[in-house]
Amino acid sequence: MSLQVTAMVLKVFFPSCCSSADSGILIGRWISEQNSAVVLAVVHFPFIPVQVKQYLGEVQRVTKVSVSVLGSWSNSKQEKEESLSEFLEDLGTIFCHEPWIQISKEGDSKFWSCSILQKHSKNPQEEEIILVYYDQRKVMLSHLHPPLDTAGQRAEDASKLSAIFDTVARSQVLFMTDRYDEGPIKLTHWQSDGVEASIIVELLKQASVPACMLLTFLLSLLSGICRSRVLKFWPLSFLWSKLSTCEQLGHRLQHLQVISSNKKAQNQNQLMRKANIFVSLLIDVALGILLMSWLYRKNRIGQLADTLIPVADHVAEELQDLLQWLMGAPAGLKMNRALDQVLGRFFLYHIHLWISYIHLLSPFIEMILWYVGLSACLGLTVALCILSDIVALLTFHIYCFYVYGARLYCLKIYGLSSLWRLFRGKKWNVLRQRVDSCSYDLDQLFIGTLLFTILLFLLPTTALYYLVFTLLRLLVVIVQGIIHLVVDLIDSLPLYSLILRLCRSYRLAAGVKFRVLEQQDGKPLRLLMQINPLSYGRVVQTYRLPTYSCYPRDSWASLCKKLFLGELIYPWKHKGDKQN
Amino acid sequence: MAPGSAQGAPAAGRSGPGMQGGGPAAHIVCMVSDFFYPNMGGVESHVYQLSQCLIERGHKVLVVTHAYGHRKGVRYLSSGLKVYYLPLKVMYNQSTATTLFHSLPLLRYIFVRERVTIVHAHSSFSAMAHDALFHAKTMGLRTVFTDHSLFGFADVSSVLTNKLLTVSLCDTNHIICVSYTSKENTVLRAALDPRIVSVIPNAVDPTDFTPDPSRRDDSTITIVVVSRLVYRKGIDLLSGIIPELCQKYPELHFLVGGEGPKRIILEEVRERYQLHDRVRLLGGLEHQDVRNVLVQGHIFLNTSLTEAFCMAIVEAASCGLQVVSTRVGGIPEVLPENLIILCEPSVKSLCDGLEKAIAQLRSGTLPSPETVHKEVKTFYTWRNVAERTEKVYDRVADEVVLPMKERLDRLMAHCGPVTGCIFAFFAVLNFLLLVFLRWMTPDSIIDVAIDATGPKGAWTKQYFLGKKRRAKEELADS
Amino acid sequence: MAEQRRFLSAAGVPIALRRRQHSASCRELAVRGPRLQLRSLSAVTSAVWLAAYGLFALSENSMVLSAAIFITLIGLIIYLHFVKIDQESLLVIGSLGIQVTSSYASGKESTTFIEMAQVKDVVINEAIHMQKVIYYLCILLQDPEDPQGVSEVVPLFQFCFHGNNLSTGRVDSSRKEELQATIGLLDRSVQKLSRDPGAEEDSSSIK
Repeated sequence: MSLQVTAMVLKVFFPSCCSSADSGILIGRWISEQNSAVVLAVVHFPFIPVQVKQYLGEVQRVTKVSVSVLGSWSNSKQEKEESLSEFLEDLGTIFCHEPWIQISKEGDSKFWSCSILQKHSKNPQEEEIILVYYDQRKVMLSHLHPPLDTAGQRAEDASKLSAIFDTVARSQVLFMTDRYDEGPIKLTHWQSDGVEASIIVELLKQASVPACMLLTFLLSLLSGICRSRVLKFWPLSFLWSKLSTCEQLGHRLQHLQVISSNKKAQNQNQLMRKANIFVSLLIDVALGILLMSWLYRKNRIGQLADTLIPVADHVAEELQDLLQWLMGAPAGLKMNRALDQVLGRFFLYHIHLWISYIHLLSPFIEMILWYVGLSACLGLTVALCILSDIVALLTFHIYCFYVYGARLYCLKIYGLSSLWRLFRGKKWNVLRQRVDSCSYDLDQLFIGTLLFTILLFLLPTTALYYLVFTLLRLLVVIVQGIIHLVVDLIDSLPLYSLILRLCRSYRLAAGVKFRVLEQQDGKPLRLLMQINPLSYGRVVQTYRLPTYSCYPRDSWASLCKKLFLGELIYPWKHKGDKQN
Repeated sequence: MAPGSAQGAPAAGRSGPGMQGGGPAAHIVCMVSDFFYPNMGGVESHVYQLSQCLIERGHKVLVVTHAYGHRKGVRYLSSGLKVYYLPLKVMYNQSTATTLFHSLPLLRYIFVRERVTIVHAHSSFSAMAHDALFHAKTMGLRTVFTDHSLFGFADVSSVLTNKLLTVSLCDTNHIICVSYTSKENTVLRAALDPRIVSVIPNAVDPTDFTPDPSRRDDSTITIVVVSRLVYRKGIDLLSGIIPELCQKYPELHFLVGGEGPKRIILEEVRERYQLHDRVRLLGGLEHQDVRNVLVQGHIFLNTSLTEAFCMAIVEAASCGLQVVSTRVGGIPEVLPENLIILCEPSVKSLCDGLEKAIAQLRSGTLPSPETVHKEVKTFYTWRNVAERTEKVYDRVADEVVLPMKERLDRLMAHCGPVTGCIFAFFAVLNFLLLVFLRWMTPDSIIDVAIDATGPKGAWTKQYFLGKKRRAKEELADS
Repeated sequence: MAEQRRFLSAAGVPIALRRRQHSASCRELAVRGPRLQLRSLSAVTSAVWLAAYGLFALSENSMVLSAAIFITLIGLIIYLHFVKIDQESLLVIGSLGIQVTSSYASGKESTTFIEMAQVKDVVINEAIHMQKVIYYLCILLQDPEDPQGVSEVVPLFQFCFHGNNLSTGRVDSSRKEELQATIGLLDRSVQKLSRDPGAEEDSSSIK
């Protein structure tokens, strides 16, 4: 039996920035649950032990991390000095710590030797040591540690790796000390950038405060107007809720409010969200202005207006032809002539009304477009929403036809289904929401049969009209859906997070990974702890911004069922109230 | 060494479908049916109990069925019974859709990796069972089919099903029916040679159904009905009986267990005659709850319109209830005269039968539940069923599987000119598909599954001890 | 320190298992699949181009040809970058955790590290995968809320499940043996390293 269940492996987490530090003592935290030592810094010779102890006490008070002297570090440039090693062992008696870790590096050798002194141990077992290098800066910025304010739960997590990140993050104060501060003790650890570098940032922060306040004031004014009574009356509020432009504007208003609020972001996620909103707003506006500059050059607006009217006319003409075709014998089908004529005339009259309305409007189209085009400076998304609304308005006749057809068809299906139940001696029990059996008398059955026959024979005619107009309607809905998809994409893409992932991948960490460094026999195993960044898919998933439009995401089956039963379908979200 | 001994059975089976030693050779049986637990019913418990008893007798048994909701993949039941829940689409009534081909890759993989020698399909309603028979015949495995139900001959659906059954059974090695009536029916429907049809009745586990007279309420008379509430079980008859008898006997109570589309009829009857306190609808029952419902009653009523072998009345009799049943299908064969009152399937006749039972109950001339239980206990046991099934397997193992050419001839000769040709064509297609699959993944690279069944199965204590010892040896080596 | 053994994957593709012992408490198991076969690559490419040429001959639109080149290039990049896994390795570090790394043919590596405290068990499971029934090795993760529960199942060496059948290399011994060898190694590593030695009994149980 060569392999026995050995004792716990001792792990030493060593900051990679300290690897070239001068000899001294290691200070850090000992986590006994994991049998691991987290080295935070190296204190150089010479020092006065009392001062070190005092300093550690101070650090412990501020950071609430039990920092202690863990062992000694010797970095001998030349040969190993005998006297030094003895001295280092003696140090162990001054700062008593169990176990006492001794790490020594010789010359430029990559392989360090590491030993453990356990004075009070009964069984001096040879423990295996793993050296894990970590980057203090990256570990701190990766936000893998639990939030700092939940100190109560630390005891449970002590067995996890997050305890190590927690230790590093808590001793942030240690790293903030000024480099040029001549204290009694000299330390080596990762040094955060001095105050000088962040002066510009600070200035910007100061400047942004009044800007934010001004913005907040304007926004509150704007939202006050929006919320005023005048706009709440029935036809207007109904209109607002249907126009996607209004929805989009409201959405952007909320975004601005989030950015300009002078409340400090509580945690990493909120900060990310703010930054994401800001970047997406910027990109949106930039794209909008690009679009505007393209539109207003070379009288493109006028060209657009000139083509728009003929297109609308052409659509109406095509519809007229279609209706004429339906009123005859479409595809060789024989329809109920009377009903066919009635329906056809009704729809033809509608188109007639529509054409005259368009012609009434035509002189003003260019002007309207010119002013509407200005809105592109509010962002590409707003412009796209306006486009979607214009499409909806210009195809209003199709929508009307669809509603008439669907209503008629729905009524017929409904009547047929209830009469079918009548035949089978059943009826729908409204109170119990189930089908009960029921006995009808002769008159009821007679009338029922008569009505059933009439409905059944008129069904093909209605169904054909319904089918044709539903197909047209679906076309419009698909176009609008695509536009909304693009708007949603711009609205919800967390651009800032993506850029961060690209340039500073350790800021968005999913966990850690280890790399085995090359090793030598007899020397401890060396591992390099790296930050494992989130994958791009996960980044988008985690930091996606919520969008206002959650479409009625019917499954395909329920959509087909709705279409078959003649229920109305809408591209926009169903509010609590019914549309009609 | 040790893995070899653990897979002794597969290794023996591996020597191939070509050679079969007669006598006590252990069979590797694959039960295929759409109906298995967690679904509840006669076929399900038949497959389960039969498998358990066959494992006890030293055979290796596995069950193949379709996925039920989240229950998919490979599961193990007690004594290492391995169940494959295959991800196939369910079409109607828990029966899978069939294209005759799409299940071949998976079934072939399972047959090969488990070294199956006999494919045993259950229930003529199960499309998967027919598929498996079809594939097994293509692969040259022996096939056995158990029919659990009776069919008519007249209506369109029966004519179609009977035709399919003819095709499916004409080259099956052996057919098992659950009663003589069922055998007669099957032989006629599928135009079979009666010599290859055996009768092995169903059984109940008598220890599960013991009487408990203390649970009865003797101030009233309780009639228990436990069945799925569907047309075939004669629920329309029940809805006629309930008001009639309840008017006559004010102390009469009904206890109905089961769920189904006809439940609404019973609810309506209950509402129309204000019988909410006397007719209790319990809804769907778990198998282990059935006994607790049965022992609460005095009389068990079965109103089935067609039944090959009624397990419910045996269970009820085993619990000591007086059984009143319709005289249809195989029911008269099931229980002796003194334990059952048989009636015609009409409301009037059933009412008469029930009145007779009530009169006997009042006069106290009924035998006590204990004596009834003692009598019934000896009738049907699963061990007996397993023994008889084993004999069928032994017989089948000696038979030859029809080679492709003869199979085609049989199909064309036996199933009529049109259907025969169509299915012969399908058989050829299936064979080509099999050849293709064998080329894609040759049998030799499909690894053999670990045998988990029986006392020497892979994850019993013994096996583990052996394994640990081996691991230690390996450790010492390294 | 390192040794190598050859096996066949579930699809009959030759694979090689390599073990390396970095130190007493740290070992690495790597399964390497076959390299991209030039034969299959050229077969697919020429098939696409032939089809494109056929279309071109019919429609006489040179767009088809450029589109075909584009499609093959994009397809190749996607295949190399997201689909084709060259090697999957498992690094077991004493009392720290298990690290799973899969390296794609393009050099992309995706790594997951599982802390030892999260590992509940290592088991061989049996499952239906496509049109096959296979054995696979997986790590069960502990559910933080429920000490009995399993929050996730991490399958290891996934790329051994499938593979193209174009290569015809044959090596003796079957996949199960390979799995058993691997689980034997892993079992011992995990047992030795994990803090409760009681897990020994069920670490080889099969669900």
